[in-house]
Amino acid sequence: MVFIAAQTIPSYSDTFPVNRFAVYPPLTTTWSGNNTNGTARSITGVLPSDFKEDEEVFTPDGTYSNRVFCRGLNATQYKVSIYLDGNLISGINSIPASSLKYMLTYTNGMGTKYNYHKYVGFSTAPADVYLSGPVTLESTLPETQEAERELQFKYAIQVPNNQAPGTYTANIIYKGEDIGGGSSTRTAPISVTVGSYFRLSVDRGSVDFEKMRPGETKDNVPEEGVIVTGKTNTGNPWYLKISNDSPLSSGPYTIPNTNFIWYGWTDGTGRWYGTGTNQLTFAPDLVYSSSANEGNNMPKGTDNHLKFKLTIPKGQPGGKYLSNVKLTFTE
Amino acid sequence: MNKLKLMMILCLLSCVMRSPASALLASSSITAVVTVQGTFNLMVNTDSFDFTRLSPGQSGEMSRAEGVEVAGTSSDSDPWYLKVSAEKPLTSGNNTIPNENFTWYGSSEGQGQWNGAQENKLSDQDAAAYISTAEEADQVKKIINRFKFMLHVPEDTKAGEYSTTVMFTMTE
Repeated sequence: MVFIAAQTIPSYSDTFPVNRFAVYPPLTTTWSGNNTNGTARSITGVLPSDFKEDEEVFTPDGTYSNRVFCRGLNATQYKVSIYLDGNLISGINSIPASSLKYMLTYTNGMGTKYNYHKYVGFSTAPADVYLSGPVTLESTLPETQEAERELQFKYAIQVPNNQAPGTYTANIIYKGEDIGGGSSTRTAPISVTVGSYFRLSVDRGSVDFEKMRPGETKDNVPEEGVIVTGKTNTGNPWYLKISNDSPLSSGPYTIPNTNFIWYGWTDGTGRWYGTGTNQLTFAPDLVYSSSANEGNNMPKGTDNHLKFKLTIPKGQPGGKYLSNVKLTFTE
Repeated sequence: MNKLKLMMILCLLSCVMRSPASALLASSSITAVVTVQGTFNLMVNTDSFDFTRLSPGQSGEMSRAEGVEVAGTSSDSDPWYLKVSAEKPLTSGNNTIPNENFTWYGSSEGQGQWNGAQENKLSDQDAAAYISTAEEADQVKKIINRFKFMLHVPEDTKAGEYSTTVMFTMTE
């Protein structure tokens, strides 16, 4: 026994040819007859670690993510399964099939539903989603001989936490199979677009030297260091730079940058440029450059630690002096 | 040969100038703060004053007609205040004149709050004589306050030379 595709958009008032198995996700305008596969689904705007559901699409029949119609004829039972034709691929990168999830959200069938209203990861082997019932409410006949049944699905992606940017594609395969008979499949392409992640975080908003007297030098500030974390999934080399837009200033008075030193260390595997005596500068000064394997350092990122040393010139007028220290993370 | 060199230089320049338009950049800022301690001085222009001779029941003003000049200077950013107090009552042996009888008043050259326009008792040690403005806390400028002292000798006071220490305190 073989399943065949529907020729028109099914509705329950139609007279259907037997043994049909149709996929027309999601818009009816894309349905064009026999053996037509589903239209492409896409999930966009996701970043590493994100979980996002496929946006539902409004159709004249309601709001669906994917509608699959199935029917058998001679067999006493049939089943429907779903799987992915492989991992989602973008160039040399991939997202495991299991990161893409499906959920059976609706059926008008009287049979057995699997993973109903529950997301499960795709497999590259068929996983059962529906087994037709031996009888129906309408009659005592097996469900295979009644009007076709509709299955609706939703999809979601759990993006791996170190996923490189790109548009990843695969095919969802829907398989209808008579128990002890033939089978038929239809496919619907799916794509997931992962964006570039490029973020810098600093573990505090200020560094306070507190009270100092003219002529005094204070080192090792802050004692635990400022933790500057750069995270990226782009795969490109990156740099961390430091600068300040003006010297420490209090009204008309300033403390020159020659008295303001940065130093520190890195937890990364790249190159640290600090000499221990680098003065703050108005032009961004290189602090760190990534190693080859830090182009994608997700999810942990690379931590750099900064400390500061300040000498108050003799005769410096009293006051509260401020300077904005800028950290730049750039490719 | 020269032409080849020029072409190579142009190529190098082109490579340098063609930075990737899509290069990503993120930045974050932290504020560095230091409070430099400035001058914080209090100067008094005399180390003693007296009331000459007063009889029991008599009141008198200090003999130093110009009073006591107290100059505060701060560039430490924080507003400051000045207090005047007596370390103990005026004392002569076992005899004392309570501080309720010892008063002060005066004038200020500052822009802050001067509380010495009226007589104040030295027994009231909580009140500030002068509270600076925020601007005065940032300027290296003398703020001069002039104090005058008055004493009333109670009727039952025994004769003797009474003394105490008057203290001026400047606090942020």
